[in-house]
Amino acid sequence: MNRREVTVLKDVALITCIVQRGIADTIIEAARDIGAQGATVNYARGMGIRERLGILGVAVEVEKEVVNIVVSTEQVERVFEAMYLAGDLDTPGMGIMYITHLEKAATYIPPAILEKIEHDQKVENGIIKE
Amino acid sequence: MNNILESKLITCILPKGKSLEVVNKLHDEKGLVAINVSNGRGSSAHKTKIQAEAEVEILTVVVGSDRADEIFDYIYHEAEIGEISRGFMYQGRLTSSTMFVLPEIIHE
Repeated sequence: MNRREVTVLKDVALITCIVQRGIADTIIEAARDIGAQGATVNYARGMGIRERLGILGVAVEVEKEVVNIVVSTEQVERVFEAMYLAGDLDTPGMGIMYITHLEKAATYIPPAILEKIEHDQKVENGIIKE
Repeated sequence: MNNILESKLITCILPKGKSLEVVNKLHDEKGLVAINVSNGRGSSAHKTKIQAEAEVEILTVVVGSDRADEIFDYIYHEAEIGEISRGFMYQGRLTSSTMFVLPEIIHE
């Protein structure tokens, strides 16, 4: 069977951020402002020592939003920091985030970018000169 | 405990309503059962502002390392990930995973 090629992206990382419900959009906006291309959000129920009572007696929402953003390893620290600050994750009870390194990712890649990658590879391999 | 030491987690973000077909094909053609689907919302840079937020289905598959690349490519083609606005997928290494088998149905 004749199948098309799979174009995969290497050197990518997944940033997962678990926050109180309603905070995700602020975090995604911060990530996109700094270069993230997309995000996925799903809902979950969280637990923790402050699940019922937060700082100054303000209840911490038990319902959570889980934000997943895949970025290149080159920009992962920058996006991670922007998300951390946007979500006020230095405040107790606001949430948690972590980075998972991925082996590969795939999505639609615009033809212009594909051509540029192929061109760069040919230059790198000495097939063509710049 | 019968653990699989070398396994991968393949995650696929698909438009709403697209995952069931892929799940069925993975089950019927590839014999996989460790597949889950959850719902969420997604945004992509390739979409216009009106389309910016869309309901998505998040498909996760746990598969042994020996078959991971084959399954990744299979999902890529079946879900047409390479086409515009068809979704996104990624693969990561798991430290360990348990075996998941469905019980046999006893016919009386």
